[in-house]
Amino acid sequence: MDAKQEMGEYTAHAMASLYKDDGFQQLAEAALYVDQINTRIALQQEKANRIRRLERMLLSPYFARVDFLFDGDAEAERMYIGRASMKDPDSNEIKVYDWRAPVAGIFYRFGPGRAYYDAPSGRIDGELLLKRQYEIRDGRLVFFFDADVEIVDEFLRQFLSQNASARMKTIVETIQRDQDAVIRDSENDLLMVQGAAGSGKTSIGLHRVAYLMYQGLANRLAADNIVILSPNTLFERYISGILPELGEQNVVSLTAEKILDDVLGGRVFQTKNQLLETIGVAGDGEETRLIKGDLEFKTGFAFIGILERFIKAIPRRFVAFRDVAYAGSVVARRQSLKNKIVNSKKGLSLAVLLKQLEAAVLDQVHEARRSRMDSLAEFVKRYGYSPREGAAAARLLSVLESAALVKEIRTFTELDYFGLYERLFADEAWFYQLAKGLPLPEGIGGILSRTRQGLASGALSHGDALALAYLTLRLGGYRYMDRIRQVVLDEAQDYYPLHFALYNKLFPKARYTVLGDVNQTIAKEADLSFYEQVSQILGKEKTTLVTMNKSFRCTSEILEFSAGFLEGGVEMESFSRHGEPPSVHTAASEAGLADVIIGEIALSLEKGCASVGLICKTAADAARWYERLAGLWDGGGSGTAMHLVEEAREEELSGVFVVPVYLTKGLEFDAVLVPDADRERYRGKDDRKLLYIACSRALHRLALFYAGEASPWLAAHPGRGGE
Amino acid sequence: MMANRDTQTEIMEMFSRILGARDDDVGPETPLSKENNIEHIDVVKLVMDCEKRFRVTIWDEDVLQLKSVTDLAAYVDRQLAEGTDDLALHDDKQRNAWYYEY
Repeated sequence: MDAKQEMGEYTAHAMASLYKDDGFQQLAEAALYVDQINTRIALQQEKANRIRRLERMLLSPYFARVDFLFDGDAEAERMYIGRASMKDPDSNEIKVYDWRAPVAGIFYRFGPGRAYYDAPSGRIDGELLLKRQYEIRDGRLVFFFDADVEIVDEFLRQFLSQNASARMKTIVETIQRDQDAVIRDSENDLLMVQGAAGSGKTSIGLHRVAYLMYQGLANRLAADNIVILSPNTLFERYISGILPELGEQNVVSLTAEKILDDVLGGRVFQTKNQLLETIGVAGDGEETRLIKGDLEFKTGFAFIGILERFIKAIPRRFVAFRDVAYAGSVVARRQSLKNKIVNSKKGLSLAVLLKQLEAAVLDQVHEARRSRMDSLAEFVKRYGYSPREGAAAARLLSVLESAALVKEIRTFTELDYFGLYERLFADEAWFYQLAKGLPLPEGIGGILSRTRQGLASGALSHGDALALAYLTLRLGGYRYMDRIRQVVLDEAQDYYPLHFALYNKLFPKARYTVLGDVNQTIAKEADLSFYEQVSQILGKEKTTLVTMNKSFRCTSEILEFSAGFLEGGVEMESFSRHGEPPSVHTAASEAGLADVIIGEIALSLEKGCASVGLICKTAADAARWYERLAGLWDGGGSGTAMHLVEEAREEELSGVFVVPVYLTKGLEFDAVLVPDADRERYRGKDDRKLLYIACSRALHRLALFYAGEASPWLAAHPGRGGE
Repeated sequence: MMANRDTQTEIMEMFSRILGARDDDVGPETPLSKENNIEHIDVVKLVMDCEKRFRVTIWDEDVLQLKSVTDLAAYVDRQLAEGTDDLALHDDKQRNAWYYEY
């Protein structure tokens, strides 16, 4: 490490001295030398990583063994599989194979019998004679057993019955056959996974990233070729440990909000969570209907069509070309400027075309400037300056008039995206003309007038922010994500068509892994046609949809109860792990309920739960419950603290949490408590999904609470029991 | 953009000579504005001196966009790096003749 640092400093010095050298020859030589040093540093880093990996392997060198008889061989080969590979440095013999190595596929995909794996050279067939699994902890063998079928259930059950941890953990020992297929897929440009709550889709997405960073040299991706799109920062933090634990460098993780913020250049807009909070607080009324109608329209296919037509119309209709005059004569005519842009076949974005036009006009100005300077010099002579003062005065006049000229030119060579977006709604008749043939929603008149009012006051609703970002990208040709080759998009069900259209512009060269669950949408309807839409927008050649119905997170009891909130029931398979049935509690008042909740929290901790999530409908509800409960909570004998989780805060998820449901996407808790399961809060159509999401966060314990009248979804629940 | 420190130091020295007695606490990052006792004409003189010293063209329309000496130094470095093969001005002699010879 020290050596590396020293080398780093040495290089910095070498780089600095480069600037002092004038001779190109020297520069070239130096560049060569810097290159060498950089290579040495990369090697050094690689070595350091390797040491870290090996150190970790000392504690748990491998977790599986396969004895594989290659077709045509007389003797089976014994191969160990671990988190990383280990080679005998002298004989170069591989002692342990990395879990991502092609041969490891045998372990994940087959039971004893005929088996194969896909090597770079093609399919390798043979006979799997033995499949053995080990548990090695702190360098000691705890147990091992021989597996007949897939990854043996007992092993998995033990693994799953552990507590949820503050950070997501790796699953290399227990990857299932269908999960393995997703992780190792390299065929598809768009791989979509519809995975039930707790099916491990996020985990699979991350292991897939690790695989992509490992696979064959030619396709291997570096950390900066991959981006993970997360629903929120809480989730980002939750998953942040996986890649380092797998021995890989962490990749860039972004939220949709961060991308909007970047593209909109810091302009203030309504975030998705602010929108959800507004809807959650407003309840199931007219206001919610309007907000959702607006969002659905602006992020849907028809509006993308309208925006595209608008973008086409902009150069002709909304760019105020004008004659450019300099030193008393016209250097460029309005009509010829306009023609250059309108008839351009270069396929460049409008912003770039206009900048090129500006440069061309300025070139003409520069040519005329010499004679202009002569006349300005002539002019200032009348005032009797000294030669130096006179030259400066003449130059100043030129500077001032040039500044004014450029300002004039930029009235049409610079695009005001927000202003343009406003223009889209300014003339209603024109808007309808533009939208001709596209399906418009019923309340379109209201949407247009609300949008006009909103934009006039400078406010950007969430839908407007997305649309404006799309417009900005399309007109500005903003492509800072060119290097991204793989986009992993989690909790995809909450994204709208416009999101995907936006990402397609932002990551033009990427392949996609899209993970979602259409049953977990918030404030939005979705079914399996969602994936068809995604595939249609991204327009990739090779596309596939994988469905994962088996849930590993919850106990059978919790899963069954949660699924009871879904419309028409949804096919879900549970991994048979049993626990206590979920319970429903009621009290006459909220104060009475608070005591019951405190009791349940204490009981959960006592029963060994490390994380307890009190999942509320909105942030306002979460704040209210936190205030009520924090005063009553004494730490439950173990001194466990209670936290209120707020947006954009990075929390370690261990202890007791009060959190709004929309922030729990992708997360899990040992015990989940749902207060407020009453008629007032959960009665709308969307609310049943919120209950489903909240309940399916639980690993071991689940309890629901209400004062007064129960939510109709709870009252009608088939598996309601244990009151 | 980061300016080359040498360019910046040299420009700072030229600027001190232009400002003379008014150069109280003008630094590389000081905004080139009247509040700091800096007039447009001072900036123009500095620009002209830079053009002579570094043999670059600083376009008139860009001059008022330069907010500090650091900005100017970065501009000069950029022009130097590009080798400023200007359309109107083919060599230094011509450039000097164009602006400064009477």
